[in-house]
Amino acid sequence: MKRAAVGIFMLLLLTGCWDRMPLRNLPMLDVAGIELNENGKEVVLDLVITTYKKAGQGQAEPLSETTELRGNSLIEAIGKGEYIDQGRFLGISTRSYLIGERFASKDPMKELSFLLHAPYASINSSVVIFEGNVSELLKNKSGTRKPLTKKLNDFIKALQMNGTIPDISMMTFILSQEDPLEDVALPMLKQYESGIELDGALLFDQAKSTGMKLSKDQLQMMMLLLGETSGKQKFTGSLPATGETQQSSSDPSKDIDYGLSIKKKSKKITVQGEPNGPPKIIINIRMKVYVFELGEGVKALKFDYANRMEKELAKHLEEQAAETIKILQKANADVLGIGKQIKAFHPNIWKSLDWQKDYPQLSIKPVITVQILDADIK
Amino acid sequence: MIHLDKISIKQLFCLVILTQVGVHVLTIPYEESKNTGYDAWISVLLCGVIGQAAILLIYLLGKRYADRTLPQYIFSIFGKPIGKILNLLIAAYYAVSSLVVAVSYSDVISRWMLFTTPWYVISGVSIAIAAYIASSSLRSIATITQSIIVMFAICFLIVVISGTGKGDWRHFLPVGTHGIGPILKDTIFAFWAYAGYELLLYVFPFVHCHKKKNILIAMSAANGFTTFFYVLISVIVTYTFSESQLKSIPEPMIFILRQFKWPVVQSLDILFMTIWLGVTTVTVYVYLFLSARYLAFVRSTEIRNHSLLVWGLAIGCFTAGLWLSDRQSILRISDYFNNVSMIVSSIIPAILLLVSLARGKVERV
Repeated sequence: MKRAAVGIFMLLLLTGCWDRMPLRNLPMLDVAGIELNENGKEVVLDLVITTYKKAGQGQAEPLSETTELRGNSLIEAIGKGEYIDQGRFLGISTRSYLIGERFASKDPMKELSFLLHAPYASINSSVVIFEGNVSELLKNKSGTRKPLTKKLNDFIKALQMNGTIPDISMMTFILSQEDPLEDVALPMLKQYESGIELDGALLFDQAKSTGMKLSKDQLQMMMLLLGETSGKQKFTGSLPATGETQQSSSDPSKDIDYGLSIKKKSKKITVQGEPNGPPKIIINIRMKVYVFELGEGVKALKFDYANRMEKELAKHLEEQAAETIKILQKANADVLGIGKQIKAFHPNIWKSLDWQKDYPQLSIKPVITVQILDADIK
Repeated sequence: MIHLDKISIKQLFCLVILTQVGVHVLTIPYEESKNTGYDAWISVLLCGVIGQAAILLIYLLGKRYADRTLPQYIFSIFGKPIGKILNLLIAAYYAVSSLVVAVSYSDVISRWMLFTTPWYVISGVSIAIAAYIASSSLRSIATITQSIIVMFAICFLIVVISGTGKGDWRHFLPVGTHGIGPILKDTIFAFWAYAGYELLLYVFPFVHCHKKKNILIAMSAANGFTTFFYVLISVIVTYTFSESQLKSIPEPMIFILRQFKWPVVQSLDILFMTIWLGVTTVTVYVYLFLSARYLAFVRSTEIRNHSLLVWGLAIGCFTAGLWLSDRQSILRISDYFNNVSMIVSSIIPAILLLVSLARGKVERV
């Protein structure tokens, strides 16, 4: 009798039956492209599903298929997914969200917010902006069997690993609308011949597009100011020839090319309260670098020269940083977390500020010190 | 027959921890942050300290009547009629607690994991398993609980790992700006999360130990660990979300788990919730057991058929649970329960102790 009772219980444990989802039948999403159509009225959702052919034989061949869904809103477009192609798509494994620029610039949160509470939606996937036509990119490439989506995902991942772009997940992006101190800059990609390339970042103020962009170099500088650059990232550029640092050099051939990787870095934000008026902010970056090119070619770096170049480099980087900060302020996007710093460590100053109004007017000064680690002693 | 043998100090420790932690892990510190914002962790910590004080009261009370359980010695404090009513009320409290815990977690499962599975199956299975365990002896219950601690350890690990994600320590600063008033106010919301230590009121005479003091030490250690666990979760949540973000996320821990990227496991949240079911089941069956034990003493003579009582209560819970499939009614009951659990777990023991002290020496039965 007791055994029979236990047996009945065991049967009850098979409750998964109602919700079972056989893995091989699941249309698992790879990339979700979200775009507005030309007249800006319809939301176009491109769902890329990558399946593997001949997976059992050990020579799996990836095969991407794109389904395009349209609707007046994102929700409506997703709803249509129930009736098209493989029916009910599963977003749980979405690896990245590719958002069209047009869509991003038109209050994207109105459409995207629901993802946060939708079960089976992947909210930890990265969000990137695509300049150009998302549906065209996904349709063309995936039709030709080229596993573009894998390339795309790998590219995004590599950029994040190297600290070239910030890793903004869908959740971070959606939640940034709640807090003016959590603004984000979303990386922008664009088509480049047969592939894709990074083209900078689009700035958001509480998840609303500001329409202002950072260039590739400015994005790199922003990452440096965020303190998130890893040793894997290489800084390259050219210094204006000596003596002409103020204006851009008239003769580019005299410029000194530099290439360096950061070994160690520290970042400090200092807030100086002013008796009347907004506080002054100083972002202090100290970095120890290995130089692999500094205008000296194969010769080892001389001590004096290295010393001089340290200052030149610092000045050059400071100029770039100041420029980047100016754009961030103009866009009213507090990506660097300056508001958080004031709020946390200077609550009295914070009370006197109206952040949305005061942030663009603040004086924020970057101070960068560079120390070259691989110079000779003589 | 209910307690063939005694339970060990170690088993008491596991029993208390696992009865305390439950569904609340997913919501902490959302409710506690209503007034205190990012200072919610202080409220959570403070509630643990209050719990510690209550444990001391319960211990003192238990020591006075070291050979009997509360439903037995309540008569010598308040007399027969009031004692019976109190036993009935406490039994009802435990039955409803067990119902609310089972239903709340069924709700979590049906919202995040099993969408199409009928409600009666999820809640029915949770209650049935709990009832089956609760119908056995205290010692068996303690042994089962001891094995479930492994599941708890896995979940603990998952929580710690997922907490290492992206965040900002500046979310905590400046500490304590919300003021002492709101912090105390929000402590009330945490009471139910800590409830569970009052099982000592019943279990006290069945703990096998050399010195009675060891019981107090084990209880304090268990409560201390729970406090640490809850504060840890509050810290992880505050580290990840800023105050204004927290307001739009009622179940912050789920979101932290969903946000975690790990190539090996795709959805850490689903894994966590599945294992966590075992941990919440402990709360359900301990409450069910206690409810049946208190109910056994509402008549002049003890009702001897324990498993009949447990199954009766379980069927009652299940039937009531059928009407609680919507989130609103569950939340409404939970709100109300914060206050009730404070009364049962702290105020009743305090009154009992005071009256008992006023009555003077305890006569041995």
